[in-house]
Amino acid sequence: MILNTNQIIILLVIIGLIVAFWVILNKNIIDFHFIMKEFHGRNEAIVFSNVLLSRKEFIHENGERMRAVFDSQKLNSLNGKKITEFGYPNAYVSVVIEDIENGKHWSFYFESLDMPEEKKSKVVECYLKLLQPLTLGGALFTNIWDQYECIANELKKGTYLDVYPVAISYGDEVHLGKMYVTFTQVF
Amino acid sequence: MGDSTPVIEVLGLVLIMFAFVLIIVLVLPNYLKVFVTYFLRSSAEAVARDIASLSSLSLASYKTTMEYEVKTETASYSVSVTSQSYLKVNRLDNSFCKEEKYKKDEFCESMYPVIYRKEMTLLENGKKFVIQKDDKDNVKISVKE
Repeated sequence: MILNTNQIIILLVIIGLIVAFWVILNKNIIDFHFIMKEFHGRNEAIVFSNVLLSRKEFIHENGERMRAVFDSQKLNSLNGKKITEFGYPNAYVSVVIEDIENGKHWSFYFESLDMPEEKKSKVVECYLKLLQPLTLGGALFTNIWDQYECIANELKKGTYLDVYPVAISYGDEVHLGKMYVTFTQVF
Repeated sequence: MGDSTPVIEVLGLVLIMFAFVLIIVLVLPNYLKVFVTYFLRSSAEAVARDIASLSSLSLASYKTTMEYEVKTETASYSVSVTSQSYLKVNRLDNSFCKEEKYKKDEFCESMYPVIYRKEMTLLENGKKFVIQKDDKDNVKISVKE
């Protein structure tokens, strides 16, 4: 079969349009639509962690707020408690702050407003894994990982575990530490 | 001489086809990209995500003022925060969004969660917004004229 000039041009236009739409679909729709949804939870987890690192309820104040420097006395009063002053309505967040110099650690959590009651009790059960006695060798991360796996298995939703370098102030001295944030989207 | 005419025609045709391919494959995607980018960035979903993230992040500061503008000529939105800490954005200008069956479409209406627990009144007809957070942790979103 021999194509005439018009048919060749039409064929090329069709091929060009297919390529053009493929480029559009690949570069734009996926970037804006799918990735945006995919990283929705990731974005919220990062925003939440940044807020935690700067909130007056947790950090040391010395005339001004010291970002990422936690106050040990404030942490003592919050240890093991549920925080209700702020938090995402669709996310359960568990926070552990560890002093890597003396091994001391504190934990607290933020409950989702939208979470059904049976799921609330399940994630609180998972949270209790943090309070278990540390395994031989004192690996706190084992307990954090157990909690992470427990929540991910119970809720079967996007769960992210992030670690941030922080400092802990004891008034006269400052220790190095880590903040572990386990962020779970409830829906 | 008799054979030269078809060669010139074929070469001309090849050049025309090459120009067509260049236009369709290289130029058209750029125009379409601008169109799709404009379309998606002005959607209620993108605006809700941006304002929700910025206003939540404002809680990390002592006090702050941020300005957010949707770079389109005609777009206008209403913004509200529900008692359940969800920021809701509705696109108002688009005729597509005025049809009942498309009102809940992501392009027309979207909700994103926010950290703060404060209900806010509905803001009508805006595309430039100011997000303010004071030292008492009050977050306020207003339309910039």
